[in-house]
Amino acid sequence: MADQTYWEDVSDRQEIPSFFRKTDLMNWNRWASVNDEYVPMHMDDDAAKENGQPGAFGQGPLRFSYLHSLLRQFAGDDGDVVLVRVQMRGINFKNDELTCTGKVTGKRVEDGRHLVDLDIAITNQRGEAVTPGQGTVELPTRG
Amino acid sequence: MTSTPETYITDEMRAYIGTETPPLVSPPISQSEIRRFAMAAYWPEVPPRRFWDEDYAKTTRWEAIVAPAEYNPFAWMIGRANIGPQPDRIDAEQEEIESKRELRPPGAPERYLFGGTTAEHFVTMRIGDVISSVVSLVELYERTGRLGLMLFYVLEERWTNQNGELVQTIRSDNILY
Repeated sequence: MADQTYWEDVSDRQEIPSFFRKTDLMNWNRWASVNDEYVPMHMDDDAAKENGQPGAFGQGPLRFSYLHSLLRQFAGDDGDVVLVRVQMRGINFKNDELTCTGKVTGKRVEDGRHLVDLDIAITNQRGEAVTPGQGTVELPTRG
Repeated sequence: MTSTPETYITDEMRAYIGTETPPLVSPPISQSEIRRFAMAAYWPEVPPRRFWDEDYAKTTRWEAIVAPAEYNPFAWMIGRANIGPQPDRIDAEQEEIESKRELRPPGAPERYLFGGTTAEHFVTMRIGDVISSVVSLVELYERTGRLGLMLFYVLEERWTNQNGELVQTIRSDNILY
């Protein structure tokens, strides 16, 4: 069993371990292959330039997935991702360094489930929060 | 110069609220699809064992391999044909399905911005599950910002499994201006 986070051990304002990806076509093409998301702007610089962007850029749903991975990493194998809410405020280009972070904003018990709410975000190497949002995970208890 | 109207919302648009699409139905989810999705989502790192190691997955609370919450069972010939080139054979029918799922309000302005999305996850997707997705237009409202008058239309996609259990809801906020 991998490291497991328990609900009782989480404290308010706690920062959770970050999740990092430096992205380029290796990430985007694999994402395209499992989602049939072969959009020219995500594969080809010329296609992106025709649409006013400086070069090919990554898929928004992949960033959405990275935030799920951030929360899964925190929740552990016996926890679960309950909610992810995001705004897509920026685009990520080749070799951008994306750091996914989260900070606990509250804990609650709802319908017998032990939940933790967090502010989450993806920030690039220029310090721009390109994907801010909120998340909720369910955690097991020690009891 | 084009003048901005006082409102975009018409009676015809209001009547469109609650419109629901026919269900999109996935093939049964397979173990290999889950492994490949997890590999793509986590590249270049190895994904968590519970998504690909059957023996390990049995030791978790799930007692079997399960799909990541954001897994997409509708890729390839089932849906999303409007976001990239498709084989000619399926283009027309898939385009029709997808255009219905856009649920763009009639008479709305053309320019589009994606506002954000919220996914709420309920029952976990497992191997063999068949997922159905229905989209509905749940809300229309307006705001004025730096782009002038903007029409927000909110779609809710509901996924259920073969047992009728709710798998997830995906709310998307779409902006037309």
